[in-house]
Amino acid sequence: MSDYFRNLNVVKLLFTNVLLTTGLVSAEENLGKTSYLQVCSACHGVDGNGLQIQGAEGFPPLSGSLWLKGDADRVAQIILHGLQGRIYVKGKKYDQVMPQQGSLTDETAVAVINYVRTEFGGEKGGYNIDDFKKARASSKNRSTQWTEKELLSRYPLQRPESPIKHLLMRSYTGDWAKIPDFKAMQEDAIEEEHDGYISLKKINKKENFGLMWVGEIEITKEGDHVFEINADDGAKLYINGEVVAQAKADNSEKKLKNGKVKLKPGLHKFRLDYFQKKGNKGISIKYREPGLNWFWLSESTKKPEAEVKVVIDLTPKDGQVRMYNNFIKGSSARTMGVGYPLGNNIAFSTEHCNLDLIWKGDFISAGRHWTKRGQGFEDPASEVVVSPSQGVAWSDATGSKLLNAQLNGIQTDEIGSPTFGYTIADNIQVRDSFISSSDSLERTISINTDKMQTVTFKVADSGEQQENNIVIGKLKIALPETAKITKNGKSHFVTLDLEKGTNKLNLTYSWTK
Amino acid sequence: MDKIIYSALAALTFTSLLSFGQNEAKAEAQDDFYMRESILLPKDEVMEMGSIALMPDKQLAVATRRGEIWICKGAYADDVSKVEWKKIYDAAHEPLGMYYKDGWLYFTDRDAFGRITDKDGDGRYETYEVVNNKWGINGDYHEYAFGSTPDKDGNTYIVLCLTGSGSAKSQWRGWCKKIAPDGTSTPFSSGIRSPGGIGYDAEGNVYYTDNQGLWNGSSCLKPLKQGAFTGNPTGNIFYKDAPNMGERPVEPFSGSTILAERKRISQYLPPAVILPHGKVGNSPTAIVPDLTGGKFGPFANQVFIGEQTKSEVQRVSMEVVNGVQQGAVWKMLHGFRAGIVPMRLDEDGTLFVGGTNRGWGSNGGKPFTLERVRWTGKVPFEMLDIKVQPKGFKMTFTKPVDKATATDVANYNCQAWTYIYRSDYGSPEIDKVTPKVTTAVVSEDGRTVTVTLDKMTQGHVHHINYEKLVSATKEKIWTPDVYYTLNEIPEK
Repeated sequence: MSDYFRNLNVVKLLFTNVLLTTGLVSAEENLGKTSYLQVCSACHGVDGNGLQIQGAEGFPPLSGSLWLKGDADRVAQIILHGLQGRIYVKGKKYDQVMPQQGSLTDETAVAVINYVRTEFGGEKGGYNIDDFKKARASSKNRSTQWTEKELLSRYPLQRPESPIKHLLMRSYTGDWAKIPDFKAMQEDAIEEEHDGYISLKKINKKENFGLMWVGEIEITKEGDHVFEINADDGAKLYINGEVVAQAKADNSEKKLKNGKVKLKPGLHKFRLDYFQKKGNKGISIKYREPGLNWFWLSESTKKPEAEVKVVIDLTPKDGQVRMYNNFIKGSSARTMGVGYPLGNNIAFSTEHCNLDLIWKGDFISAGRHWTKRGQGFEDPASEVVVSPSQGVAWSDATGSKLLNAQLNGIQTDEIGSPTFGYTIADNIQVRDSFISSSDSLERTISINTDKMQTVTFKVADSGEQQENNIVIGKLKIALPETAKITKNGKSHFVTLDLEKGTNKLNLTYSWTK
Repeated sequence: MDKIIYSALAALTFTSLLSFGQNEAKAEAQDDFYMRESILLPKDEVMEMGSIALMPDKQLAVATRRGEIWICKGAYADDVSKVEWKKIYDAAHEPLGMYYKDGWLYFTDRDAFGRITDKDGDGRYETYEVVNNKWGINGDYHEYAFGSTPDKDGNTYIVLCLTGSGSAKSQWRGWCKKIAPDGTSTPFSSGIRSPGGIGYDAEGNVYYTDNQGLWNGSSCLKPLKQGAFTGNPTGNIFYKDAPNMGERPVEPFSGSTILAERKRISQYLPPAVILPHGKVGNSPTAIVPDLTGGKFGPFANQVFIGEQTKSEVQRVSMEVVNGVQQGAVWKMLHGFRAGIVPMRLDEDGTLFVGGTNRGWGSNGGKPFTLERVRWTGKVPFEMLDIKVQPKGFKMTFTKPVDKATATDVANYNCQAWTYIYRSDYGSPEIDKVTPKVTTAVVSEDGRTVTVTLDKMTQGHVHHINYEKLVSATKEKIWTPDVYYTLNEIPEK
């Protein structure tokens, strides 16, 4: 009983102090705060730091606890059903009973949830009565208090804050057998990694790349600190410029995966070099401060991560044409993907005004570009993709001098089918469009010129001529019977004697089985 | 103490104390001054905001990072849950900057500066025209293009992020290009790293926000001028293609300071306002001037800046000293639901704020948002403006200050620092000094406080904390910190 009363007095004292410094806040904040002080603070402390009681186990802190972070329903569930048994909070073990708070009205419970999360959890408020009602409904059959295991399997804790601050990731491309000198190389990109964790998540590449992470690690204890790395293909860790651990970094026999370094509390320079040649990829790193447990500095991956590809299928389903303006593999960086009904798809280069790609089947997935930052070129969603020709397709009468091509605009019709308008050599206006049918894609190139002239149009960069068709693998490009087809190197051309006014060139793209 | 049922204990202890829960002290909350509301977005759509354009008849157009353009009716109405949305276009490539002019919506995306219109009036914008696309892209996602609204002569300015934010592998990366109304473009400024937005001050001078990184110690607001170099030399390889820009600037020394390099590099235009990294923000974005004439509160003719990471809006006021642009930043609005990218401020006093968290998380926590902010009509007690003087600063306030607190020099805490100007990423704060306020003089009307500092350090950001100031009616100050970038010290 003596502990009980001492505790009571401490709380009273703290409570009085808080009253004196309280500011006027919104009604909900007020309700949250007064209710917290009334119902919760006896054990969790007026300041949210819990209560440490001499000779007894004490009560867990809320302040800075991961239990308050992330999903607010976790907090709601503790209020609704209570919590018992062994739990870990901020690295310390507690074994107490947190009773359910059935006497709170929904309004008060919500106010307390928002109060503790914003005041002690560093989270935003915004949890509302509807959220709370949903949380209650989701566990309405529960008759016992939660255990840590049950609750955290439903609402996992977020990762703790990483001790690595100001972390940057520089990425490089190259085919190396060991870790190269990244410092002497031009990086492809530099990313700020605000969460301070080592991860390959943002890397879309599978092979021939390197990464250098640079930051500062915050050390809290003096003494020997152990770092352990594991990498595929290889990695090397520097602390304060000295190599501490390396894993297959130089292809030699030496695989120093584990290293020790004496450090004092404070910030220390952290650098981790990593390279991937081919095959599986992965990097993991953990460290241990004197007297503490291992702490993972990497996204914990026991084995190299499998590629998780998000698919957002854009294949048109409603008879409309779907355009996708993004980076498509095999086409120029400026390109318009067009998915027509009946399974015909193209990538039309808006850089060169040329049909860069054509494929049959599904159109494309936007998953790569519409998740995360959207790095890289996406493959068309088909196994069979043909690039008829690349670059500008138009040249002069002799076929030797490439003409300039400039996109002017894109006009779509009532089903969204585009006509590409472009200018060739400053005085030839072209309108280029496609009509999709079940067995072919019919292209009409309408060419308007203010004078008679002869130009050459490149139909394909490869393939064989069969009568008035060019066949590239399974793709057949049918040209008009009158077309003057020539071959230069591997490319096939048509020569066009343009009349003043509008001229037309029709091409039919179809697939052989 | 054993496993006591502690709610019972607590109830016993505190029920009688509860009546003391109310308190007389007055802390100002944002909601008192500015009302922030979320505008309902179309159901099941991913509306990651990249651009906002003000349209005739109180309509709003927004462009999403997925490349869609939507028109919203009712965004100005009292009930923002009753808005109507219509998708008008879906083939843009991450557009960042859009405006309406003469029946066309102009937008800047990765590929081009172009425009769309609805010629047949069926509600679908079927006609797209390229206005200008004379810059390089290679597929690197960092190669963003941010476009301005038109200036008074109809020019649009486009800032082009470096490749991977560290190299210039495509043409004109690291440059600002000016697009004339006829569609022709000219190189305008070099020295850009990774912009987050572009816009104007109230006089129509153009600026962009550049994010902390290589050759940029802290994020900042940088002026753009014909022929200027703004700090990152990576894109200067394209001076060979820019005869109108004159001589290529000499290479800056890495490990130097902006102040030192300004003296070496004649084309160097220093940041007008440094937005101290970590203190004021992390990722500055949109720039909008307050041309509302007071309809958005007392800050007419100042500039508001979006902040992606912190989901905030900051306020900037600038002046020209010895021919150089410089000024101050204050934090202003917070609590937006996602990372702010585009903003537009209508002259009627409605600020539209668009957010997206994809790729770069924010305090806001939601994947995307469209919000609007209006002034409630209540004036906060706030530092309205700050102007530099030879030996200190002249600060004006929105309301008369309490003279006793304002004349007490102990109520001003100052710190000043600069950053390393270097090829490496960012910079710590260096050369820290702690100036002391030696005198603080309050004007007759109580609106102006002139402080003298024992030391003014050219090139340093001067931070003044004045949280202890109260108004003559004992109102607390709303925003207690100002950060002034002292490029130049006036002689008189």
